[in-house]
Amino acid sequence: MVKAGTLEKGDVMVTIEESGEREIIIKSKLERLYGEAIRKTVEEMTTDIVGKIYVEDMGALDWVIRARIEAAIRKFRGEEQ
Amino acid sequence: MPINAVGREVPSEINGQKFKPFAGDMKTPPEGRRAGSLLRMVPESRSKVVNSIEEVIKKVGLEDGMTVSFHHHLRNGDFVVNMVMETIRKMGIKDIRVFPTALFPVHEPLVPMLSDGTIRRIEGSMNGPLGEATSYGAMRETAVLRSHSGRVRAVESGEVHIDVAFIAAPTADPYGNLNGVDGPSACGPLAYGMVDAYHADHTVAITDHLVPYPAHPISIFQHQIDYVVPVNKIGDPNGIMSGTLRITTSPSRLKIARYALEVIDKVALKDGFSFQAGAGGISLAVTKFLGDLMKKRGIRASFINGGVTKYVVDMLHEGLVDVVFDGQAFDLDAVKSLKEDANHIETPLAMYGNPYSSGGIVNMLDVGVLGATEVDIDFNVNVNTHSDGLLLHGIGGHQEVAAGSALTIVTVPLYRYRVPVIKERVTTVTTPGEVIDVVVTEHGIAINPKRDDIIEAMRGSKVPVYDIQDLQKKAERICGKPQEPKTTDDIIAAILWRDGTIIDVVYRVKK
Repeated sequence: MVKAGTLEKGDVMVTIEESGEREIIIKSKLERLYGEAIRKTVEEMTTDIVGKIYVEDMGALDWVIRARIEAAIRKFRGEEQ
Repeated sequence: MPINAVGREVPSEINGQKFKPFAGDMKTPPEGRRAGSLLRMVPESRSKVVNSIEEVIKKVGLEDGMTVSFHHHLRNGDFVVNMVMETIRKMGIKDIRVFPTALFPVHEPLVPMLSDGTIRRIEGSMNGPLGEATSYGAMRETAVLRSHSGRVRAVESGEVHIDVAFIAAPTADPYGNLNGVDGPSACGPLAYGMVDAYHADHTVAITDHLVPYPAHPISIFQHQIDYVVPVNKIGDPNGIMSGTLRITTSPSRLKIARYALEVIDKVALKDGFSFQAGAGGISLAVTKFLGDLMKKRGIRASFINGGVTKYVVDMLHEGLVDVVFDGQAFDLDAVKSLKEDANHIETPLAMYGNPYSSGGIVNMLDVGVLGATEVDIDFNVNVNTHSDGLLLHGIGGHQEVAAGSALTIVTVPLYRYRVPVIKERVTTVTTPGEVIDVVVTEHGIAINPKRDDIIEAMRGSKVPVYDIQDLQKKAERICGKPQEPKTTDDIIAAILWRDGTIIDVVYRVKK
């Protein structure tokens, strides 16, 4: 399991766990305002990840979410090798 | 439904009572005379002390469907609202209209009373859980929100008749003289409660500091108080007083304060000027910076209207301001100064900004610095709902300070976390753009196009000046466009302008 990010306000914590199936769980403080946008970003950036992707958003801007996902993916790939 | 002057569709009736649509500030003249309270005669007794809330409720004859009122000087430390409402519930009295100046998270115990028949509706500010529950449809009837001055107007005009006013009193004597500056639950002025004491049919003071007759100083006088109920504690000092309020340390918020200071300097700063102070982080910073600048330049203000804090008291003691008007004290320095300084004056709320009076303090303000939850490209301001549609805050004095001040500045970040603050259209209109002059963000300022004089005064300033549309686009570029709030057609609250016209309504939010 790898993690990137924090649970500070304005940040996001992205966790990827090895799993045979691809699964995405998103929890956001701004679900009602940006739930769809966050889901789109996560789906788009993790298309080739097979694993359990858990995103806990504390109101992060989109580029923050993207940076955290990228960091998590790199760690996840590093772990795989 | 008619469309009002800010383009919102509003009903002409709320809870069976007729209301006019908002037509612009000072565009709807008053009608009629001031409303009065019941004449009464007290028995020949030298004490008005009653030993329990239950007993006093029986004495005043509180019945199903009546209206009870409260003031909010004890803020989030208040015990009185819960104490009284819980007694009413236990006595089986139903369908009460609760008419507070404001409720806070501490009043969450009222939420179940919305559905068990005790409360039919609340007319007043609901900060936090009660507002949220109301947003999801918990209240049987429709909430009505008014500004501080709008509430005074509603009482004076008879739009709202108070059957029983329960007045939290940090100090009381047995014959009903009250003040807020002494006792373990001291809060400063009792300004919010004064109009209720004068206009309610029955008045009950609730105190945890009973002193021998006569109490002094006196904020609310004995001839307006029917009963005095001593209790153990009326509040928690930690929730009443804010402790030492700290100026924001956020670099972007400080930048907003600096920009606001620059606007004040270029447009309004001169000997004898006046301003409205508040307790928000940016507002405190503006007050502090303004004091420093005045000292440097040798400028003295004629008055500050508070929201009184230590920063305002310091200015009074340093001779930077002649008079402090006090409608609300936020810390113990403010309470102490109100008690000791002759030029620190407690003002009844009726003197604040009621448009249907012979003129309020706000009419004499040169500068008002206000906050906002959202601002839109028409300069309309929302302080009531969040962008997801939830009703979470009251109006406070926003409307009258904006309407009265010669220069009205709204200080806001361009966005909070990911939520844009400058929007195409605010979720709810609290204050119309016609009374907002400058919006100050950390990225720069926008000046209301109808204020040529301010546009001219800001030429050559270091502060970046933008069209408000550009600030809105910038916010949207950074944050992305948020989803529209998921609301229904049910109106859960009406937002009244200070003159009693409907400026907007709030809809029920889907779970």
